Amino acid sequence: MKKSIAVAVALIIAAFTFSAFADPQSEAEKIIRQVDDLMRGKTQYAKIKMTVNNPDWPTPYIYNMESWSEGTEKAFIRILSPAKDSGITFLKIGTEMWQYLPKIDRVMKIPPSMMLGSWMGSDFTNDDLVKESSIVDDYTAALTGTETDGVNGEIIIIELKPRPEAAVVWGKLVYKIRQRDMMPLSVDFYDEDSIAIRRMLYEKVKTSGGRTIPTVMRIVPLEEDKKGRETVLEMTDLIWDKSIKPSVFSKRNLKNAG
Amino acid sequence: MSLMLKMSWRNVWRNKRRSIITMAAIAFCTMLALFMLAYMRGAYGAMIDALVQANIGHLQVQKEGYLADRKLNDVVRNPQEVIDAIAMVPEVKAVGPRVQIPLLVFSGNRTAFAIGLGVDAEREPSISNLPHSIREGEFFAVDDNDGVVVGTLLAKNLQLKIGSELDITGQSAMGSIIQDRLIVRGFVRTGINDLDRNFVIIPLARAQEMAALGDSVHALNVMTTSWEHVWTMQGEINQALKKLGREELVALTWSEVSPGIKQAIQIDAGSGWIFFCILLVIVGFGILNTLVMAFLERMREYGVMLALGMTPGRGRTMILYESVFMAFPGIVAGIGLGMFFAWLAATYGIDIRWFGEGVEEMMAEFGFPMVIIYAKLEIWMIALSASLSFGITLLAALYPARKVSHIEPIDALRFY
Repeated sequence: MKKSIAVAVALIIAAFTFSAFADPQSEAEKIIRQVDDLMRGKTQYAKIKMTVNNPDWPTPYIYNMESWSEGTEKAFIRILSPAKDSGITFLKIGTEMWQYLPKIDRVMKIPPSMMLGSWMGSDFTNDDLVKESSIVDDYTAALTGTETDGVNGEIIIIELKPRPEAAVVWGKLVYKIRQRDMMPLSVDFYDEDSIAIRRMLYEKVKTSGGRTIPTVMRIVPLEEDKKGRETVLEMTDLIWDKSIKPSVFSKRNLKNAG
Repeated sequence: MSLMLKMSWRNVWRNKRRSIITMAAIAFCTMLALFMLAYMRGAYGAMIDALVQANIGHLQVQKEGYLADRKLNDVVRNPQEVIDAIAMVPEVKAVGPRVQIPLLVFSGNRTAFAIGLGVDAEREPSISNLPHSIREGEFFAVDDNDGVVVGTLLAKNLQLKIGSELDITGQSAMGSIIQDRLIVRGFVRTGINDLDRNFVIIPLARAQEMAALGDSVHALNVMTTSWEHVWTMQGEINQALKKLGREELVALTWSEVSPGIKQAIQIDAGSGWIFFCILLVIVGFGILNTLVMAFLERMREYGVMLALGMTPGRGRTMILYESVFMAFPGIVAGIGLGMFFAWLAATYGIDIRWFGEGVEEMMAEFGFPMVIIYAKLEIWMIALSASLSFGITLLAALYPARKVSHIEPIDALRFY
């Protein structure tokens, strides 16, 4: 008799414990939304240094650029250096993207067939820049576990799976988020066959423009034939949530010499 | 036995006109076979030469793996030392670099895909006939770094004029965006539509700069004495590369670089051989016809001989001997005539425009730029056409030879 009471009590306690995490899905979505808001803001301006490493090249290719963005809808990028590329601009509105090549004075729309091509030789695709998909709206999130390491302490692992109707290229995303301050640490991108394609690492958490975020993003392709390649984005001079003139996101602005 | 030979020999010359008609049929068969072989050989040789000289060279030295994927990064680094090493290989006449970049080209609001071919204006005349194939304007000079030469068909699509600007974009070997503007200096017509529709020829240094290649190139074209010698040369060049310590490079023959041409020739040769065989069958029936006619004419003669005691076996032997005696002069004459016509076609050529309007265009579409085809005669063709004619004659003679052994002397004597 005593034994069965003990079991019942244990069960009740267990039930309460689980209900504390009531709905692990909505909890995970809350965290993802938080991360997304943190990284994106309503609007964002940044100076970006992009370093593309490829073992086939004698030296890395380094771009400096400026970027303006408004949510996931609009973005404008201007290349500042190297000299050969300076003045190249990109405009993204919705799912469309244009580029302007100053040396031949031509605005070109990036055709859908080139969307999955590399963006300027980096490990980003054009699609990465254009995609309107947001990790909040297009994916369902679920807490799948935790781990601990010496530097970051408790780490939350969240798995994102695309909603059936979402037009996304990935089969699964796995986020690692530091419990202490909800900073993202890494994302693994899997294709539809659950093969890991690339890993994005978030580094150098700094306060810039009044917001504390990881200011370095490192993309490492995981496919065998891309071994040794890596693209590093370093963001500086961040300005958050300051309204950007609509004329910035216009085709006319593509041709402005900045 | 020598009696049979003697009798057959006499029989052949007993009715000269009849025998000469048979010999003429055999001669015609031999001549046709020989001439067709020489013509086909000449045409395919010209086709290979055209492609070799227009673009790919007799051999190409590339980084291993470049051929399959044409990745801009698979380059021949430090090409000068490789050029020097290959130039030392005996029978190598010239070596020159090639850069190949897939591009998007614009003029006004017209756009086209193109292959940007970076060539060294100084070396190019010795490794290709591109500089000699200018239809309009001129090839860019050695010190000209802004010029571009465009294939005639591409130029037409883009409505280019000499002196117009050609805008170029694409992706460099480092993935950066190519944006460049060149000035059209000339239009090139190789006669191979595939090339004339896709080529923009760019000064080497400019191509290397836009594609972020440094001094690297994608291929080194090697010219030797003939496309027939490349298979032994391939080994020698690979040896030289190994000695230089450049084992990442390979020498490829024209047929490896452009397997399409070999396939095109195989397909064409396939239909050529079928045509050839049909012709031989027709000519074979002609020979058979003259032999059968002769057989029927001599029916009474056979009847008499059989009545006098000739065995059927001897009759058979006699007819076969006769056909051999007629085959020899026929074949000799046929070879003489065939060689003469092949020589004419080798010296003066055959203008394919004789075959009709538009043939030239059609051939260009298949990658055949020649208007005049020169035959090429080789020893093996003589041996082959002679043995073919001999075989056909013997085959045709089998029928009357078989027939003669079944003749009833009485019927034969009453034959007419």
